[in-house]
Amino acid sequence: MVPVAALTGLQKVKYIYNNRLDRVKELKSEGKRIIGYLCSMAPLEILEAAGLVPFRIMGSPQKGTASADVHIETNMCPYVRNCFARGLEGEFGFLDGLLLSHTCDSVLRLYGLWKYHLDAPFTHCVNVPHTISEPTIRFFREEIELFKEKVEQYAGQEISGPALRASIELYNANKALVKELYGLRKEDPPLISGTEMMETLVAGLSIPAREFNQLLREVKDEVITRPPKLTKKPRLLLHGCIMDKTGFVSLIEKCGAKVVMDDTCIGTRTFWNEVATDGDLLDGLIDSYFKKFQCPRTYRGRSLHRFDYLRQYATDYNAQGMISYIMRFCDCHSLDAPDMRDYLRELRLPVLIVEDDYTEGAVQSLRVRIQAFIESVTEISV
Amino acid sequence: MVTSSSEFAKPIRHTDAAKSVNRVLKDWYARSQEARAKGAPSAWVMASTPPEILEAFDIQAVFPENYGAVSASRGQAVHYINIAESEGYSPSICSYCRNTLGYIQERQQLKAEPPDAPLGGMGDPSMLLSVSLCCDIRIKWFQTLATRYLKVPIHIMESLNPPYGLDMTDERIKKHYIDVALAELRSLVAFLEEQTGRKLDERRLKQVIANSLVARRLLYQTYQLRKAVPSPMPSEDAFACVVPYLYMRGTSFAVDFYQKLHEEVKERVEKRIAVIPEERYRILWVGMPPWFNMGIFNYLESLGTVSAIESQYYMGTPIEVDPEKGLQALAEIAWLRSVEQHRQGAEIAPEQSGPSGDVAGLPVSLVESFARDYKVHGIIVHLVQSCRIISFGQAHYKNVLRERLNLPMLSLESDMSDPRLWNDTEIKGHIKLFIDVLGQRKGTTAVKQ
Ligand code: SF4
Ligand code: SF4
Ligand code: SF4
Repeated sequence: MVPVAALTGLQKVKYIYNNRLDRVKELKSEGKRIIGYLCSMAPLEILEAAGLVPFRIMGSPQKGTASADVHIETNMCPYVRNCFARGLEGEFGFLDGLLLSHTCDSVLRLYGLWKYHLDAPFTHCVNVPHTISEPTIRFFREEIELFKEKVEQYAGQEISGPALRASIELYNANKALVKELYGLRKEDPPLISGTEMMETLVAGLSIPAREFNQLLREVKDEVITRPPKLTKKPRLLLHGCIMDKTGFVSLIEKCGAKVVMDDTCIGTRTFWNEVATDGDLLDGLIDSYFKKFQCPRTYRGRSLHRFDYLRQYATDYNAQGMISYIMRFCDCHSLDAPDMRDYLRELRLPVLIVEDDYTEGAVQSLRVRIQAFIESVTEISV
Repeated sequence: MVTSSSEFAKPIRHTDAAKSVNRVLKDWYARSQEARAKGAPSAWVMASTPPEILEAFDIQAVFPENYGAVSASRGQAVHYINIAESEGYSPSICSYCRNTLGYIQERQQLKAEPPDAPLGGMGDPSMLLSVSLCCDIRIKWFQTLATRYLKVPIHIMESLNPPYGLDMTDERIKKHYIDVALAELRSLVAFLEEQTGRKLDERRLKQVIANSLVARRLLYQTYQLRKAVPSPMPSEDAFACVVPYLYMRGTSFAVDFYQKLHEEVKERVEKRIAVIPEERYRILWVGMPPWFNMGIFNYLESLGTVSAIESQYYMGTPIEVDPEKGLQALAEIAWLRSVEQHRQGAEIAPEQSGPSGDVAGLPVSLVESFARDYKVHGIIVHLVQSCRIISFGQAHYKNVLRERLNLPMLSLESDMSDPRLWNDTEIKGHIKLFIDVLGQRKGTTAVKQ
């Protein structure tokens, strides 16, 4: 086997994607402290600035949730249960801590149980309001400050202004490079597939931000220099809850479409908002992690215009339809679905909404519906 | 799956107070219909929006969650739920919510109150008031109503609670939470001032808060009386009697209601008027009840078993706060309630308190003390499929209580308002077996020492 150090670009991405614990375990053995997180509305920049290594906890659909089912009711989010099962089984035994934020009901509730059963030296939950107003912004600011102080205490060092700035710049570079890669998907055919993109992002969330920047550069160099694909395929926007495996995207692409843009957690939701560095850094963090953080868990008014960003994505990336992936029991997405469907219908953008339970079998059972949808999109486009 | 309604029974209640609640509901809905007809400010409100403030503004409020229970108990929920599902709302969504969405959809199609609408329907509100406590549904539900159906002003109140493990003695944390709570109360008040064209009447608010504290205390004292053996007041009565507390606790009506309830239960204890003459077993009911089949509690009674106490709609211990502080008093109530809940272990009760102290989710130690203090022989845990939030923690209760208590536990699964999830044969079969188990252990109440 080729040692990982000898790999570059997409090959390296694939390796990390398939062995995502390797790097953090290595760092751990070098004495680094690793902090696990789930969907973060808490700035990872603060962990990084204190010399800690953030690591995105993910699930394993093929492994099931039996060990978690003893502790969490099976009508809670299957993704959260899957991650907890991995935690209980010791898969993340190398973690020195846990950072969750109050993103949705299931994650908030996971926090209590995780702390109760798997407490670690650093365990913290950043509370995030569901509405955006002056008092809630003030509240979130204080949450960030409390979080920062707790990190400082744990890391045994103060986070200086310049250190925070450097860390923000590092993460901003991640985001800018991800956006550049996304830009290559505007080509027709896109220069990078949805599956490759997702693999890249998952890999990137498994290694330190600095290494991710390097990896993104390599991927970009590779995809712009490789011979372009010639066959054009229907271009789709992918929307939905957390997907941390390529199963669903790759199914769509195997069914004959290209995923060219997304509104998903490990996608634009994580990478779209660079933190402004020209003013108060905290203001920048609040903007990016709270005010602009795009997720239906935050109340954004009572009009269908709350979906305007989807139209923008579809226009910018020339998408001909949208597939929405909703995790069973994810209330924020389920309740939004009919409004979103109606909005897209008005735009005459075909949409397919599927519900899934984060098991591998479930994804495969969607094949027929996806094929039929892609055919219908193709007909409309012709 | 059972769909016929023949197995669903209305409850036979025991106390006069509980028996009067149907009338209370009817009068309440009639009052708000009347007020609306006169053009008075009216609202659809999410429970836990401080009823004290609604009362101080004299807002005629109806609560879609309550309407979910009302529709279920009157056999109308499936009809509305089907309509909502055909509109694309997932069956996994809270059945109270699906019930409202189906109801409003039908009403809009008919351009009139649906003829079968329970209690004459919820009518047209002049505003929508929601609160973020407890579940994501509550925000999304009202957002949906405002987007699709009701073009009236909407206000969403933020309700934030300290996560498990925070140091609740830290003054900075306290200030952090009280500040935001107070700001949110003020912003609700500002919204209502704008909607009603009236200033908040501070004197009235103080009076209302004082009433609310009295109502709570009386209800709490009544719950203390329920510890008596034989049980003077069972869960089916309690589930009815919380209506004034949940929705109108600042009114003098609520104070009277709880005064009478307290006297009645006291008298029942003194005269040993029991729910069932031969009380063989007492159980603790964990979770929401099946509103479409409250007769299930009478079924238990037919087997010599009374549900002596329940985990849902607990009012918490009385809190000493000076009502003269107005809004500040409400914010302090909420904070003190959180402190109390943290003391009892908030690992599965992350949203401990509503903006005026409604308890959302009980810490495991509290449930344990219920089991001990109410001298139960067993615990029935009712998992309601479509409310993840109230069901959450039940597995943890079972794990922890198994270690701490020596009590049989039965798990049932159905729903609070979706009768399609009720399997009568299976559920009753499980209950019978469970009671057999209790019989074999006769004489054993709680408790590992
Ligand atoms: S849906 Fe929203 S809250 Fe949930 S994981 Fe995704 S971005 Fe985070
Ligand atoms: S899929 Fe939905 S319920 Fe699950 S973690 Fe994400 S936001 Fe929460
Ligand atoms: S707490 Fe449960 S019953 Fe109440 S609105 Fe939320 S999901 Fe529905």
